[in-house]
Amino acid sequence: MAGEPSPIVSARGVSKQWGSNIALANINLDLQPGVTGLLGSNGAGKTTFMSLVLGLHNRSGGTMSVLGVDPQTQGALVRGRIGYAPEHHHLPPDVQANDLVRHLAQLHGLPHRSATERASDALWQVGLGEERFRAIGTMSTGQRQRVKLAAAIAHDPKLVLLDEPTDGLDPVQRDLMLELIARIGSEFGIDILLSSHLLDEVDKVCDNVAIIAAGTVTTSGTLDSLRGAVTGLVVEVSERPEALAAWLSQRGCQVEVDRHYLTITGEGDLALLARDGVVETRCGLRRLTDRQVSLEDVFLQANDEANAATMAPAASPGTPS
Amino acid sequence: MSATPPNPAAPNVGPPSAAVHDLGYRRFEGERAGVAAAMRALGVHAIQRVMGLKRAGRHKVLPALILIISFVPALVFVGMAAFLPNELIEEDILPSYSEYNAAFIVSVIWLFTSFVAPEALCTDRRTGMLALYLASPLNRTTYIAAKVGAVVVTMLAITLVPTLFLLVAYTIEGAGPDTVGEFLELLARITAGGVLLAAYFGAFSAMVSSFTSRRSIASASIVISFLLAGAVTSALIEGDVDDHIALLQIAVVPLRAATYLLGELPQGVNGLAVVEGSLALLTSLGLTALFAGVAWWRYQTLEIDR
Repeated sequence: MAGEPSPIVSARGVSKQWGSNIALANINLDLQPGVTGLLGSNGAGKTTFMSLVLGLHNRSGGTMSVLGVDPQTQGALVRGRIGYAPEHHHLPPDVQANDLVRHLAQLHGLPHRSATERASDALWQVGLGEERFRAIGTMSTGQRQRVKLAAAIAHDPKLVLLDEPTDGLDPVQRDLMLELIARIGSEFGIDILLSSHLLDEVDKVCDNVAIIAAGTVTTSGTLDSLRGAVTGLVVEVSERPEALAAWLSQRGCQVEVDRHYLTITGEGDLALLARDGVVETRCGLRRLTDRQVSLEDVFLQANDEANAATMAPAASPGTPS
Repeated sequence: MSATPPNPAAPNVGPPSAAVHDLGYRRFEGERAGVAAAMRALGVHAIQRVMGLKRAGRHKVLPALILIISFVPALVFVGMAAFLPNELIEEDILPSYSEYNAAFIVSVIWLFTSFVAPEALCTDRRTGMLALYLASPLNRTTYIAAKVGAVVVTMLAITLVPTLFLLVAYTIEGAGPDTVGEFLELLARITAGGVLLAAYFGAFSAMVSSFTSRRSIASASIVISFLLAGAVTSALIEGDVDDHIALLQIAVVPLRAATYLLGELPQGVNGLAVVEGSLALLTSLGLTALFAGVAWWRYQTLEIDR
């Protein structure tokens, strides 16, 4: 489409097997610029996907393009322009934060002087300006997470991969880290792929979401579009919600009742149907609104679809054997 | 409107003009180096780690001790060559290069291989640095090559520099080779011997280290390997077996090969003295390739903690 930015990462039919275990199956995904959340439960395949983006493993099938090149054949080039913060918190305890960040910036191709300057800058940007000469072993988990983030951005990457960046942080540190990530994505102009299993943190900082379940991407797009993809109405009535639910169910709607609230999904013009139902059952309408879909709803629906596909393997011809 | 020029003699009574500016995030517009530079940066960092530089004092003790043991005797002998009369020097009071290796260098190589070199590989796996390194332009092959290269270069400070120092000092003092040709030949022989020793023990240390993330376990394994190979071989030699069984002494085989390269009589190599030098050289080269190959293979198949 004209005017649409080219994707940072593009995957077509990507699969990865470890022996007989299928880690990723037929992944089709275009990651657009901005902050993208790679959402999935533990073991869903997020880290494996990141490994393929970094060109650390060969794909079992499919094609992939990262920053315009194939990471499998030009891994060094791709990794030179990517910053990466792994999930684990282990870092050499007797190394100063500044030395570590400078060293990793040098490994990504920066000359010694530039690496030294940018290491200080990056640590300053993540809020460790005063602590940059402290040994990492004396730092808290939150500070170590920031050191990893500084190391990921010090060489001015085009894309940063953050694997569970808030793991091990308390709520206050977590919010600060999320603010920092949002700032890197917006103010610094660095695209971010954030892997997480925490819905609310993706909801807070991400522009786009890709939901990965059972080794496949079930849903992807902007947060707004994903919320819009799940339709329905919420009706609040003053009395007899069961009567309205029964009336609507008889007409093919799916209805969930929670005290005086009815969540209605189905085909056709639900608003007109709900209006008629309220009149017929005399249940007293208090409120009728579009259903506000949370990311959790999207995630659960995506997981249900993935589970259904797993239970019926014959229905998924694209899945490699 | 005319501006009043500042009067340098007047006291500054206005608000301070100095300020700290937040420059924000700045892009890097310079040229980026490639994989070779990354390997070099990793190698330099590994040498610093191994030698205890930028680390607590206790990490510097053993490397410093090793360097002292390697160099101080050489300085003493050079001093003797400078101040003793020529008649005494001609009576072989000064050690040959092989004798120097056997008396001083081999013990520090064992110390270095066992207790210092494993730092280059083990720590990266224990501290999670390996995952960060492999997310850089380095891959598993270039990573292990840079690390082993760094260990070998560091070892050259023990296996090559002291003997080169002896050669140059002896030559200057008139106790070395007589002609330029002899000097160059000896230089080549010493260099080949030093490189062989460093490559052999560097590869062996890398191989053992590639199987564990604990430096202490690697150190213990190396010491046990050396002792066990020596004990088993000695026991076999005492029985009536082929002399070539002495080639199993993995701790001294390369020393026999280095002696052969130096063109001198075998020194301090136990039962290996009766084994042909060329065979010891081939064995050493073969084992070096094997050790390096196993270390490479281990890092190709290693599961990385991310």
